[in-house]
Amino acid sequence: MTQVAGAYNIGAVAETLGTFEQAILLSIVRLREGAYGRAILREVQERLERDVAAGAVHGTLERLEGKGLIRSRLGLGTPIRDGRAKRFYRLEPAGVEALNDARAAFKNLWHGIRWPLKTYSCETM
Amino acid sequence: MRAVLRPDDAEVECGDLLEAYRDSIYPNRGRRRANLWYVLQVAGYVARSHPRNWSPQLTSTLFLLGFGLPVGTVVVAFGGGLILLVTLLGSVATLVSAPILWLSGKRRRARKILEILGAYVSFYIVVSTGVSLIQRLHHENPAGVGQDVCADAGCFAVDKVNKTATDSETIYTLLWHLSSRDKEGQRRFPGKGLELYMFDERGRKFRLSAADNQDPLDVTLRAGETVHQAITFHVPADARDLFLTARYRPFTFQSLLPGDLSLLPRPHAKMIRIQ
Repeated sequence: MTQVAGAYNIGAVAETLGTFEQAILLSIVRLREGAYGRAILREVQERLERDVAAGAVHGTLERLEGKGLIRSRLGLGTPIRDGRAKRFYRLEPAGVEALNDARAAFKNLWHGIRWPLKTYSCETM
Repeated sequence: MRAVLRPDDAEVECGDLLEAYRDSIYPNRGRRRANLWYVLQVAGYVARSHPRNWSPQLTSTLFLLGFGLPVGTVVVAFGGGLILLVTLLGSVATLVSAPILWLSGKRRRARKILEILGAYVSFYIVVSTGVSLIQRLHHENPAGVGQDVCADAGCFAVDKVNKTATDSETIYTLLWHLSSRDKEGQRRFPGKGLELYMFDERGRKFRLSAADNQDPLDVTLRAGETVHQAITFHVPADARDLFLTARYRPFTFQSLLPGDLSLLPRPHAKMIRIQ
């Protein structure tokens, strides 16, 4: 793959992270120590401005953990959960790198294009 | 949730759902819509679950439904030979692969396939016993001498019974016929390994005389053809209430069909009262 000097590997990012995965990872970044399932679900719903299934968040977290981008630990439960344990997530270095790559790839893809797009013409370049 | 998620995940995810239900869904949407939301969320987990996380109970149940049902249909449609073949092949494959998986460190998977085999064998025995039970409930009255006992392929009847009594035994010579019911072509009757025998009210079994053809029903008949033969039994003089019946000998292919592997003693098939 051709790479611009100093740019990130866009192909690798595309294979590594999808949009929903980025949303989940960024939620974990924002929530810091409070990043557990319910909180991540709420954060993702607010950011994406739509309802998200809890099962989808769980499946994505499981997949990201499988890729080594995040890791989890069990925490204590609370009365509102009837004492059921919480699973807290935090980013691994590989997760941080993947997010940085995704962000850089996004910028590279939009480089030189005025946003928001109105109608496609050569003037947008 | 416990059926489709790992145990610790099920605990955590149930907690997340419960928290969401109580802190925002129920207050905002009301009870009915909140309950609907909860059911849909659980359905979402089920739909996205990976089979590797399924509980052994769920795996076994799905296996029985997904495998037992089609096989059961095949049995009804084509006879029991296929289920026996599939069962034997599946069992051999499992018993060969389980130790290999165990030795290569995949002990959880080895345990799981052995559990599935165990569940299947249990299912097989339950079905076999059920078949046997149904056969007992629908037990037919025995036919008499001169009465036809018919199946799809043809009709069998004992036409005449000759008795020769000695001091210790009675020699019964049964003259019988087998007729083809086909309209055209010829048919080989599945009589290989089918043993004809008599039994009395005490359950004593009397085999064919050694001098007789031991597979008298192993014949090929053209459409409408009838074959006549005679068979001989040596029966103790004190035997009462004698019946003639037939059964496949042990370890023949047909003897292993469902019904024969049941936990209940197999009832006699069609019977003819001789005395």
